[in-house]
Amino acid sequence: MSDQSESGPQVSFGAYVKPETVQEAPEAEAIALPFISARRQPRLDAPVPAPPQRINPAFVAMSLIGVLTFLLGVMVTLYLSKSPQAEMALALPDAAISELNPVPQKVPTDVLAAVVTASLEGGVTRNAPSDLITPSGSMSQPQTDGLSMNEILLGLTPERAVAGAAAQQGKAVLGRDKLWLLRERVLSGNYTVKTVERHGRERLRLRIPTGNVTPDEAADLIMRAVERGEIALPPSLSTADGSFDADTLIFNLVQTSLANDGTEAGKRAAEEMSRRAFAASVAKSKKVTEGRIYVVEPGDSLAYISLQFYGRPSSYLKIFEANRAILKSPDRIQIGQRLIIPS
Amino acid sequence: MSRWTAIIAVTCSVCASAGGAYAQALEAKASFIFNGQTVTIDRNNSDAARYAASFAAPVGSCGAPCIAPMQAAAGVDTLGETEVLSFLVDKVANSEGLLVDARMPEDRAQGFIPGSVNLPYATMLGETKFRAEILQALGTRALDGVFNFADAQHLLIFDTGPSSDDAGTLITALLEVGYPAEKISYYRGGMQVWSVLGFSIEDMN
Repeated sequence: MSDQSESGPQVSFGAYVKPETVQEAPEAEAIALPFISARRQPRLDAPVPAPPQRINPAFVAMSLIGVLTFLLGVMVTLYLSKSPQAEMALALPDAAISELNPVPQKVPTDVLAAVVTASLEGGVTRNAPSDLITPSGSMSQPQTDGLSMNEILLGLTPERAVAGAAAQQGKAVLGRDKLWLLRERVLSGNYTVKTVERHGRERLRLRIPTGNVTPDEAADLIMRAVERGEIALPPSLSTADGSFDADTLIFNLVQTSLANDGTEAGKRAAEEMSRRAFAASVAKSKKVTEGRIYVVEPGDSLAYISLQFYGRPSSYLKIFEANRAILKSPDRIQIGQRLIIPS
Repeated sequence: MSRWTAIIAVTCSVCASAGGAYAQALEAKASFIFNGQTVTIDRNNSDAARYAASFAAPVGSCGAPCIAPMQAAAGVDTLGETEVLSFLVDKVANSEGLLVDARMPEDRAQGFIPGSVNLPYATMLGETKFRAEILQALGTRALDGVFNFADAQHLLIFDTGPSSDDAGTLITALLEVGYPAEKISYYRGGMQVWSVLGFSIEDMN
């Protein structure tokens, strides 16, 4: 507050070169990098030390099989529930679904690691609990949470990056999904990121001008899955007024899948999404020495705030880390809270 | 009966509006904090005639008798002196706006409105290396070559006056980079009208 004059009326001909403001533009590169680098070194260099006890590899394999079986079940249910036989799908016993699961040892860990890193809740797995995201114990089921998002992402990953029977199954289910079509639209540049009035507030959303696939439908799909308890709520997408930010989830799913598909076109499309979202943001803030101060509004999730200031929901950790003093976990943001947005 | 009521009502409203206008005319002065200092503007400028002569431009500086249009661009309001004073008190003093002098520094050195800042129009033309920094100094946020204007200051832009196109050029340049028109307004009178009216003027001497 005391440095309002910083951005205030000090512009004079001699004062254009302001060392403090010069630094902002190159940030975008810095944000994009962790995606690529973190993929190869999963969390070992995280500032928080890994849990001391060793985990039996056999146990890890077993639990991985278990988790994957569960996820395939979720995917099949998701897919079937869109069809008229929705009731039937939900009534299928777990055993019947698990038969669809092929030899799970062949899981492409590389792709899995990539989507784990990329997804909003990246790194939240049983054998590598990330204290970066939530202080331990504050989330009820972090494992399924992270991985169910990853599976959706897996379906969005292009064919050549997806190997193995399990992944092929995932692609067969989700490749026809609306999310996939959405991603193709964004890749072709045929979309806008605009503010739309929602519950009396201007909200940033991904818009597809024409066609039978809309982000709204995809968001509805996700919301229904959330309501049925098939997808756990990622904490960064919990809003300040206690609901779930499906719009930002859709944006993030499309963006991270593009950013991680390994192609130059995909990377460029993901960056273009960032630019469009950033330019369209209506969030107001005040400049301070540490960055900016933003006051949380109803409907905001941490990921949405990140989208508005960094152009990507997945950079929410940057905001979370800067506000550790007042935020216990990413889902604990409250209306009226004054968050520091690091520049 | 109702006729009398109507007459009284009309009389009262005329008196009220006349009184309002009178009060406004009287209040053609302002005092506000700018850069930590109290700035006072009134109409007792003893050097008014000298200043007015220095800003006078019988022949247009653009090589023809050019006169700035009343509206600089679509969506950009044109303001008069009273509104300039209100802007200084309401916006500038609260760090929400800047009174911007669009002239080049050598022109500004002849005298300027107290509480204004200099943003020479030439600095915003083309892809100068300063442009991004200037926009950020105006409160915009930048990412990867893209600007966001949600935090941008309100700008009230002026120049020498109706005979000059400096303000118009700057306004066009700002609109081109995406500065929202509703955050820009134009004081067309500029230094020519400001000095003739005897308002306070600062200069480099």
